[in-house]
Amino acid sequence: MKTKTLSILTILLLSFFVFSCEREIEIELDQSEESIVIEGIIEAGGNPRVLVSKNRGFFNDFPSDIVALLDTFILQNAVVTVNDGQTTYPLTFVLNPFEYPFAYYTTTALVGEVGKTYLLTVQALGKTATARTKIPPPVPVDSLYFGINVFDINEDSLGFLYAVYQDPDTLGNAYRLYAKKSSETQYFPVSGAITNDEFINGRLVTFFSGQSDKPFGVQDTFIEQDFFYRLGDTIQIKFCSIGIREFEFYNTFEAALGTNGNPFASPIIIKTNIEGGLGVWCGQSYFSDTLIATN
Amino acid sequence: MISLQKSFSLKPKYTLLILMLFAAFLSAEAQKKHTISGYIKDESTGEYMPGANVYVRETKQGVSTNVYGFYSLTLTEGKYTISVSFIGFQEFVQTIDLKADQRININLKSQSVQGKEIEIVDTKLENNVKSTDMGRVEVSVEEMKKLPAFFGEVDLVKIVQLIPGVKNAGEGNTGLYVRGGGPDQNLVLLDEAVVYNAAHLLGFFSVFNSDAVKTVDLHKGGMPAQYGGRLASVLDISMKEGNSKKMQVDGGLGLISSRLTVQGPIKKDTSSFIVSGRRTYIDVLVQPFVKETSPTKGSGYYFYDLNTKVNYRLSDKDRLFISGYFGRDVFTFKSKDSGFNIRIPWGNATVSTRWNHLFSNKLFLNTSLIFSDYQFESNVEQTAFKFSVFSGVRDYNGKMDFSWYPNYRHTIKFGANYIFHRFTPNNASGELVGEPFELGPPERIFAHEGAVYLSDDFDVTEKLRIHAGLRGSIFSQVGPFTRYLKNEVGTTVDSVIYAKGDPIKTYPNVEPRLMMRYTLNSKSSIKASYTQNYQYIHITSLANQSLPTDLWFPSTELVRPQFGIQYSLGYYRNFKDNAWEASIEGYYKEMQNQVEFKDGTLPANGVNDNVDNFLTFGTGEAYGVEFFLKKSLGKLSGWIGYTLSYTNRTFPELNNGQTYFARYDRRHDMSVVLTYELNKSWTFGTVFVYASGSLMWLPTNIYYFEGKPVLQYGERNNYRMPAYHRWDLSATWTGPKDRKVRSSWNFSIYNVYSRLNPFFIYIDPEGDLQSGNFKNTAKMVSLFPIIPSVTYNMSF
Repeated sequence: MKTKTLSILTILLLSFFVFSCEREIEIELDQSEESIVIEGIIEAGGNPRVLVSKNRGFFNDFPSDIVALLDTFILQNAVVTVNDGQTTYPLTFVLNPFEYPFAYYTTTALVGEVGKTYLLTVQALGKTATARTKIPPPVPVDSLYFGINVFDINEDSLGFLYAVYQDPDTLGNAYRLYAKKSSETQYFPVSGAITNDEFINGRLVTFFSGQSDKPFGVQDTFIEQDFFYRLGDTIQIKFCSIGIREFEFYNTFEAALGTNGNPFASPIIIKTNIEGGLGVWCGQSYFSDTLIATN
Repeated sequence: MISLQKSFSLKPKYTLLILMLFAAFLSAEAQKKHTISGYIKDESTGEYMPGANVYVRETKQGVSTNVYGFYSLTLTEGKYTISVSFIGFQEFVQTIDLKADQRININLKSQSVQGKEIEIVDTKLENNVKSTDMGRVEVSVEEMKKLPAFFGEVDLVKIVQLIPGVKNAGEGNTGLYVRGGGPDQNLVLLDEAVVYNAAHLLGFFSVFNSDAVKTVDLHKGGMPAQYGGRLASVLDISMKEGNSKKMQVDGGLGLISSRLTVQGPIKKDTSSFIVSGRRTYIDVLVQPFVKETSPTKGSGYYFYDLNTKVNYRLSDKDRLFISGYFGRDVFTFKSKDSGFNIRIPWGNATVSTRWNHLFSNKLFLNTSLIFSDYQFESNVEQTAFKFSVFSGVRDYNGKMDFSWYPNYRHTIKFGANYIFHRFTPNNASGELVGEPFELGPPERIFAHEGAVYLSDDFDVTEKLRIHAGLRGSIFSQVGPFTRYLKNEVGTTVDSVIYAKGDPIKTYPNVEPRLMMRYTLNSKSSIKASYTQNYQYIHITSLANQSLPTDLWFPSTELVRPQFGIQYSLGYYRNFKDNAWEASIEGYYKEMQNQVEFKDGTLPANGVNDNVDNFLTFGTGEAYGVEFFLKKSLGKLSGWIGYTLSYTNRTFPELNNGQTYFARYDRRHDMSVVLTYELNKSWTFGTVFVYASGSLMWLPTNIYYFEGKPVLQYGERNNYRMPAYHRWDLSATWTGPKDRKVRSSWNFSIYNVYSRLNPFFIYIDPEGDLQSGNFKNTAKMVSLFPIIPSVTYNMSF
């Protein structure tokens, strides 16, 4: 809520001073050195999928088309391995033009198992990045239901997805919700539907969310109604259990997206579980369910 | 622990100081002595005059009146010529034959009342060279009114920002950064009551209504022992007492606000009152132009201040003062379509009750009971949903301050102070369809703060004068309190509950203060000072700007008191019969236990947790040199100041442990402030400021995660904004003084050459990736181009 207050104050500030003006300025800054960026997931019952990319100068010009853009960021010649405590599996680069991520490293030889710890090693840009993650056990969702958005009095068919689950007694459980409508091909994480059990340990928890947040390349235009579900939608969910360090990455990552470019907010430094790189290597297991939105 | 060891190792020095204090008494000659004492007042209004100079020509010794206008001088029997002076007033001279104690109350006449120019050599001006004060500047409120005003509002804090060593927090902002210190390191006092948030409208105006203010006194270094609790400065503001001679009404109409002050005697020469109010009226002026059908009808913003004070002379020895301040900013937003209502009020309230008592003509006591409160509230309402966030700080404060004038060589001050603090960190309450929903119990933090002090300002030899002071302070956080304990990844795993009144953590400390003046000749001197300060309450902000949501929080078992040491050395010289005062002052400051949020702290993290769990601690350093040239007498008056300064911070957990420059590290800072009195009717004023840009923390790199751009930040505060400079002009026309209604007009032009100064810089991602024209560009927002304004003032 504090963020909301701050933004209200920002509006006040800017609207009061009608005299204000803005202009573009040139900024020259020393760039940090290139880093490996990892977007890696190993799911219970699935193969590891690791997108390896790099960072770039902030004020640099961007390439003019999407292929060149991917080329600019994605590292295709990295050496990627995953060790499950016994065997080291090499991952190979695959292109995946119809789904996100469009290119990643994977292997069919390794399938994630609950309770196991996986060590990821990536060599690229003359550097080595490593990370460890453990797949926590899944937590079931007790019930799912649809609720009309009471905050908007002009709409009566838009609403949220509500989920109820029982948090286990042990502290240190964290969750991330993925969802899709039946008309969509792929699950995406729902922004804001990430939580840990710091305050809700062992309790019956209800939370609500809007639609999942699609990355660039999958959905490029977004109108406000896209945030809500509509009466009649068939909604499929994957309720993922993740580790605390992985949660901290996603939590700070989402907060950072929220403050990007806000001159009144202090930069949020994203917490990573990668040694020698950026991003996250996340082990997860999930519970899946389906809901048809009715009143 | 370092700080503690340091203070203990200084112990032999304290003993020496105390010995020196008392040795001075022993050496006093055994001749018959008598005391002259009394109050000095302004003849026309009956206001007591603090800081007036009482000078004995034969012995070339002098004292200044204290903040209540009282003085006391003890001399051996004999004939003396006493002169009393104050800038803008005629010198009072009286020859006395001192054979017994004498009470001499003096009324000073304003120079201008006479109607002819009198050029006097003002002995007060010798204070620049003769006093032990370092880093102290007094600014006259009357002078301020002749300077260019921003939107027609005379703002004393903005004038204080023009003093070398003081930096503003950005365009139009009344935040103060003194000698490399943070915004929470200034003790802002209004009639001794702490004002926790001295800003209106996000800092564009200060809460001080210049019509109600008598004096403004800034200590930026060499803080005397009677002050404490902040590292960087004291801004001590005294309210007027009210005219005790006749009823007086002053009013002003400005571009955005109006002011009205009524003052007068309740019983002539015995008691008086003053009531002064100010309110902005943009909201009122705009309303008629907002259509009834407008979806945001009823939205607006205003602020108001109310100052009031009464004083009563109970007897020749007792005076009572009661003063109060109440101010609020209110922002409302209404959206008919969505049924959305927001109301955000915030502001300060203070009440000071003070009783002056004279035990003898040498011993003066002031006892104060002070209440001070700052509150912020944000109420959001939408159909069936209500949500409020509130926070604040409240103090109950008791003080006793003695001034003892044993002989003319010594002015001894001692006293004690106790404050009970109540902090309200961010608390929230909510309601959905009439049902309250739980957001955790409201949290309050309680603490006791106490201090005792002793100081002596004395002449060791003809040339050497010393102010030696010692302050003992103690701070203790007490229950009720819940401490949330964390594991290594920052998850709350346990909590410790303290019952009401349980001591949680206590910090006792000793703060020595030493200032010295060595006279080189009648026109110049060298001064040096060493001060130690502890600060027990803190602000840290996630935002780049100072905001009304900034929270004060106390020292706890995790947050140790901030500790600062300041060394300063200066050369002072007066020219042309004291008409010009000049000084060069260098300073070096060390600060320990500085407070910042840890990297990655989110605004929501304070809920159901302790704010201090998200803090990290480090050290700071500041150094610089200040040049000051001031002219107080004559048709042309004003000052030129220049500061070269550096300030940095080192936090093991921030910026990879590397030292970085603080956000308000600004290398060069210059100001020129001048007024020229052309004739009785016209006075012209001008202000020019130049300051290096402040620092910002901008992203250096970008990467993509889940298809979204993520900004990567390099070294902290890696970008310096363009320099800030501005020129203002004003012309003030004052109507004839002999009329029943005296009126004056102030015409101001702010930012004459319309410089587009940086207010903030933001990143604008332009174009989109799909069409391939994406680029991040930096945009600089400037707030105020040239702004002319007119203010009308009247008095009858």
